[in-house]
Amino acid sequence: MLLRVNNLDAYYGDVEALHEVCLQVDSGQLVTLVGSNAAGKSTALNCISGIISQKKGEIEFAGQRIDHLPAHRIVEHGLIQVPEGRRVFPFMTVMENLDLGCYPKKTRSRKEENLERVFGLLPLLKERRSQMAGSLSGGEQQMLAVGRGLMAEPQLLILDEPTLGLAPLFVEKVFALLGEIRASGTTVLLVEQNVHMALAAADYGYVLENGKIVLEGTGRELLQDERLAKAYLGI
Amino acid sequence: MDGTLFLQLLVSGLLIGGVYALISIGLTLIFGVMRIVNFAHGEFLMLSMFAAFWLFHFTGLSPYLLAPLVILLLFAYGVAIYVLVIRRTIGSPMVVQIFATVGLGLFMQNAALVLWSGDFRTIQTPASTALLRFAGIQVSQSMMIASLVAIVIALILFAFMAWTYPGKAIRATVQDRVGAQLMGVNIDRVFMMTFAIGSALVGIAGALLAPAYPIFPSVGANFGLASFVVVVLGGMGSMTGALLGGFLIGVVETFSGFFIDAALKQAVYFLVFILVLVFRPTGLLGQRGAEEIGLK
Amino acid sequence: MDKLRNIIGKNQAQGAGGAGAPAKARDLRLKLGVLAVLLLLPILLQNEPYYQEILTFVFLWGAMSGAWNIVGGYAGKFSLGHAAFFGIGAYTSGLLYTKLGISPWLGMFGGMLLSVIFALLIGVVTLRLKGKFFALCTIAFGMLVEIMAVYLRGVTGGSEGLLIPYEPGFWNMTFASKVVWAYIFLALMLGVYGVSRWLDKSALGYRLSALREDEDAAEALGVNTLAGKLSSITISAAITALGGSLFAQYFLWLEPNFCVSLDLSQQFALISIIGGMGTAIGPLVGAAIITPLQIFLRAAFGSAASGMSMMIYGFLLVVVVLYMPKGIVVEVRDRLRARRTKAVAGVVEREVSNVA
Ligand SMILES: Nc1ncnc2c1ncn2[C@@H]1O[C@H](COP(=O)(O)OP(=O)(O)OP(=O)(O)O)[C@@H](O)[C@H]1O
Ligand SMILES: [Mg+2]
Repeated sequence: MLLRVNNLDAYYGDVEALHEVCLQVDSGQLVTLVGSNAAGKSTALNCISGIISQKKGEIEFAGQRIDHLPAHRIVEHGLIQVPEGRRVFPFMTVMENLDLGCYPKKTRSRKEENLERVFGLLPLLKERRSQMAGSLSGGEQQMLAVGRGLMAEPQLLILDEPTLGLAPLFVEKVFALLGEIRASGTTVLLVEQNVHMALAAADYGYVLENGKIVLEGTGRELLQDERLAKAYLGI
Repeated sequence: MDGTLFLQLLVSGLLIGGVYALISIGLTLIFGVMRIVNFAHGEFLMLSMFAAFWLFHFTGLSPYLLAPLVILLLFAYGVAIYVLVIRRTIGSPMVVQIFATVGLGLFMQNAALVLWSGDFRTIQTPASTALLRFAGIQVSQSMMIASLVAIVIALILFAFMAWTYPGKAIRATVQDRVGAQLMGVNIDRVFMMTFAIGSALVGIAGALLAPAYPIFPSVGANFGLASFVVVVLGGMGSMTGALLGGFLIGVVETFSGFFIDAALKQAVYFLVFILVLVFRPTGLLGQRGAEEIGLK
Repeated sequence: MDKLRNIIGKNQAQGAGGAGAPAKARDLRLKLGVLAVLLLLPILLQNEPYYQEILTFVFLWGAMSGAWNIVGGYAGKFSLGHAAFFGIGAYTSGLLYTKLGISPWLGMFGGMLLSVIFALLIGVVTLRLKGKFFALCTIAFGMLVEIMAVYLRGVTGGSEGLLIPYEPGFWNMTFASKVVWAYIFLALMLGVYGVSRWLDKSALGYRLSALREDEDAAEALGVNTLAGKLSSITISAAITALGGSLFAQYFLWLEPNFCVSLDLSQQFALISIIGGMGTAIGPLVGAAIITPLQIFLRAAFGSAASGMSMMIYGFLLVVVVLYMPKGIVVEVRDRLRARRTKAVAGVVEREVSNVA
């Protein structure tokens, strides 16, 4: 077991955004967390990566408690989040963005290898390496954000809605990429609103509603679940 | 108008401008990265001039030799002030952001008055009055040095920002604080280092100006205001802008002092300041929307 | 409009504080008591010129930071150039009186008018700037006025200062008795308090608090923010100029270095911030704390350590903005209220357990 979240509560001021969330990610798996808008998915991810510090509960990563650590220390453990909304550094080139991906000291020495791997997965980034990230198309920015995350040699790569606002063609590309990433042995935790595709690709899934986990199971089980089908798949 | 006179005025203006630029680089760095206007900036300069003075007073060594020590002292002071004051102002309401450093400036200036009295002090060395002559004009050696150092520092900072990991981490923090944290950047460290480096740069300015100017508790007031003008004119956060703004203000000051009235030269650049703030708040080289990139 | 109501609602809730009728009566009694003491003090201190002076300055600086508070606290626009208005008031009436023999009672209206014109100019030019940039711009305006006051030596006496002749008489607004001055400044201070209380309740006040909380949102909701800001800065400028004119006749000596200085601008702001920005009473409490402190310190350390009081000012300002950014008044009030709520809760709890 790579990541274990136990009884996680989170607050914005006095408002509770997460209530007793429990989830697990095993090594080598692709796990997905789905739910409608404002369910608290991003909040959960930000708690895990240490961006949100006002929280209660246990978060364990690779056998170590990380819930008290600040975000930059958690990154050093190999837990990398690709944030929502393609947050690349707009006034830096593609190359500089990738450089920052391997900011943690451990990975800096292997920058060249990592770069090769990322360019192998995303040849488009190689072409655009000296272009300003802010001038890339939305889909390209998303690819860059993922590539930047991979530069840190993640043990666990967390993605927050990587397909948001992308055209179907790019959505396919993102899922293909996730498949490859997972095939190469990197564990993935994926937050998606594209419930059908996410569950189809996932080993295991959790459904979050109003800050609570309401349903969980293997991807296939959830796909066949009636309640889920009604609520999310529009069937 | 006489060609030599024109050249003399121009060169004097550029040199004063170089001094302004040197003083302003630290201010613009701190603003650019942290979005904090250090209203105590002039007092940091005053402190470093006093540091240079006392070190000179006790050791008798050349102020230029003592500069590294002054820089170190100011760096340490920057760290201390960051920890005690600045850290708490980041992301706080505007009143905190403005008046914490206003209060700090008041405190520093008057603490200097209490400790060291209002007397003018000077560092008398051959270097303070040395003049360089060429093409029929003369320039002060110490100001020449200050100007050259300003240019060199701007270049070094530029290279630091462009090509080193810490530099990139700083730029990343400016563009997206959360994003930078997710890359493993310790943004509290970035802010602390930025503030300390900004203070150390003021230390350099103080050490180089100490031989050329009288030193007294309110010496920072005018220099501080001038550096606000320079930074706003050049574009808040822009290094090259600080250089350009410095030289421009220096030249404007010298020429208006000569042609209008020496007593009004400050008025002219305050007017420039207001016009820039109102009509082109990004300054000459500032980034458009720079305010939105960092925290608002 | 909902958001606007939300913003305003918050303030109203703060202001009302759930006071019932008895509490209101108690409040009124307290206020009348304080007023009575204030009215008696100048007479009681008649033979204590030192304390009399402190009292007079508490009233004056309380009034002036109250005026600053109308822009800084109510509209959230932090000016660091208010000494310019003070100086314009002081010099206009002072000069009209010394050079042309025009009574300061008339001259002060001239000062207010000039000051308002200047405020409108600054307002139109700079009020769309935000936060730090507005503060920087007002510093520049203040400096311009200071430089001109020094530069126009022929008129203002430059940095040597302007001496206003001492010829007691009502029409000259020059009084032999200091008690009169204490009452004049008390009246000014109460006037400023009145204006602030009116702002607490008026439509303009709501508009200002909406734009202070979130200028863009207020604008998007159709609040005319420019009109709000302009009204607040002109009201504030007029009062500040009036204070300047009165000060000129009280002190009979004007110096750009003091009455148009950045230091003075900072003092207006910091008294208000330390006391409690955005409240009517805050600046008055601030002045009651800061001004005596300043004068005591000056007396204690003499000119040898003239920086001592300003040093402590600066220190206080840093500590207050970092640890009680709402100012002493608001912070203390919140704490008392919290305690009272707790006490009430305690009583209820005890009663409940008694019943059980
Ligand atoms: N910084 C914040 N301050 C206050 N409330 C917040 C903040 N961020 C999120 N919330 C609230 O917390 C709840 C959960 O938000 P969150 O962003 O986690 O949802 P989400 O599941 O990621 O939604 P989406 O699919 O739209 O991204 C929402 O009601 C949101 O309004
Ligand atoms: Mg989200």
